[in-house]
Amino acid sequence: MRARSLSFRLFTTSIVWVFMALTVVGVLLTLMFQHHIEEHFDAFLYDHLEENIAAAIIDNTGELYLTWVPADRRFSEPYSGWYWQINQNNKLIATSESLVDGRLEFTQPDVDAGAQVQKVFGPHKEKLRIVVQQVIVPGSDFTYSFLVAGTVAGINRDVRNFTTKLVITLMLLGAGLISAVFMQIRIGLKPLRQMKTALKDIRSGTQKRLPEDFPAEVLPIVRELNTMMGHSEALLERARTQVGDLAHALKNPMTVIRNEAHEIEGERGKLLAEKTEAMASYIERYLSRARAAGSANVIGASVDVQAIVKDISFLMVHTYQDDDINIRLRQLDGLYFKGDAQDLEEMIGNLLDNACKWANSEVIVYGETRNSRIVLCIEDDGPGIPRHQRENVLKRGQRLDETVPGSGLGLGIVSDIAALYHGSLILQQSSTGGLLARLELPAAE
Amino acid sequence: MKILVVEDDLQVSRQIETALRNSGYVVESACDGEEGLYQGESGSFDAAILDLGLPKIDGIKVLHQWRSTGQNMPVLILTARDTWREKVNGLRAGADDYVAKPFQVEELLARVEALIRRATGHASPVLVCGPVMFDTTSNRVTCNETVVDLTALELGMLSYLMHHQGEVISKSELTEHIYDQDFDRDSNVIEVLVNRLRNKLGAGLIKTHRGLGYQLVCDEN
Repeated sequence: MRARSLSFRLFTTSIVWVFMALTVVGVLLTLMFQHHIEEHFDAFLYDHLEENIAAAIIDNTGELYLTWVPADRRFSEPYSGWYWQINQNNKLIATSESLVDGRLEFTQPDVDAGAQVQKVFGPHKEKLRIVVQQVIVPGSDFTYSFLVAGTVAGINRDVRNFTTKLVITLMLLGAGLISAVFMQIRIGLKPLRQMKTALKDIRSGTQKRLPEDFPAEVLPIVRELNTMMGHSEALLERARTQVGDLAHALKNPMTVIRNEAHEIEGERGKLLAEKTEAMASYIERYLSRARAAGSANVIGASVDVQAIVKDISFLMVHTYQDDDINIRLRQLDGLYFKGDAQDLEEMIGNLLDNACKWANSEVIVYGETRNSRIVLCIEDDGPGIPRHQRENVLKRGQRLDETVPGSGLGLGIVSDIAALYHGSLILQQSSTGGLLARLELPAAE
Repeated sequence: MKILVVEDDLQVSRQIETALRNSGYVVESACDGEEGLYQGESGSFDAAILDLGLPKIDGIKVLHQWRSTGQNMPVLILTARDTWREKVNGLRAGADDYVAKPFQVEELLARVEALIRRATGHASPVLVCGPVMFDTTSNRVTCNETVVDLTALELGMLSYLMHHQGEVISKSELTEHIYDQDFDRDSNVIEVLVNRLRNKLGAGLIKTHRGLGYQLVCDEN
């Protein structure tokens, strides 16, 4: 999962809200549990307080005494943490046996405040929770403070146990939620991954269009992409058909005129022949350029260079079989051109044709991919082109001299098409003294 | 040698036919794919010139059909759209060579001549049989290094025999390859031609196999 991805964003935000929600739930549940257990505890203390109050009577001497004491054994065990005590102001009237000779200090509530809960410290500095009430016992003029105390150790232990179990439960729930979120993201973003695969298929040429079975949210984008691809393809197709029709329409009459011109004797025939040759060359060059797709393709399909070199070589071997030219292909594996197949065919076709035309015996084709560029080299062992003429050969609209190697219009067309792809054609001297044509083009991923 | 020309542009077709006839070939022509397909399948040709942009059935389909029915004559395709893919497809469909329009008929003739020569297993453009030498590019015939003047029909017959040296060739095969379709097959013009060639190039050059046909004999003695 990459940092700049939708999955990452969805996943991190989900983790944050799951964590926050579970923390809030945990805290709330713990507080509620503690509250509940304290209420329960207080009710228990209050029951005993009521019991003590009910047992209190004033005897003849005006002294308070209890007709019975609470039976709970915890009030008789020394320092058990469970105590009761009766005061008259600061004067200790009676205590539980568990308090031994100690006494509990507390804040005296108002007489009409009813039973009050307080937190105090016991004889061993342990934390106690007490219920205390000011009571006027019938037959006496004084108010007495009745209190019952219990240790909070039990409450704290119960809350701790509960919290431990709760944290474990919530962590399991969290893990479950996060994996559910992960699954949800995987499933939710599946169409995007499918789109990526489909685009890759289009690039590699196995598919022409994106399938239109995407969910409603993605479908408009898919349709738009398909429309764009269809549009540029249709434009290109239409242009190519028109160029093809024009070529067809022009070339038959051109053939007729050319042959008739050769039949005419003398200067006029020569002039006519010369002009028709020139016309044929210009038509060839401009039709080739009109056929070129350039970067018209939106997606930029990937084209296997080796397959095309092999096809064109097959053609050349046939064409030049009487000249005994050996075409050697080296290191063409894994070379993929980002562009139109027909454009690449046009470039390789012209370069190989030129090389075979001038080679003595051997043409070598090799290539490499460097910095997402393809460099394709075509070398022959022919006469080569002198340095000062190499530039001219590639120039646009250059008059063509068929006696100079490489000045057939082919190289100019290659240079034109390469330029459409921001590529280049460079002519150099080959190791055998012939021409080395170095074609640089964008590489597909 | 008999050539089939399938081309829909009548003027181009006529120029090709004229040039071929002037070089001693027998020519039959078709102006659409359907007719071309039929003629290629029914006649026996030494080569075919096939335009790819044909009405009714396009050239590549015609070529596929010919090859699938066992027509193995050499085929030269003419392309006007001339994308490299079209040429590759043409050769993959079974063509032997291609010429892009606009072409010069001289170039076309040279290609056709080379095709026929290669198809009959000859590497050099000059075919030799004993003292007789036949230059396929110029149609010049010499016997013991002396130029021999031959009529178009004599040249046609010699050319066919020279291309098929050693084979016994029947009279009807010879007739088919050096005459147009409407030739009267009962006439004895083949015998007349054979005799004229024997007179001009030596009596031992053409051997008669009774009931079978003729054979060019190229032994040095």
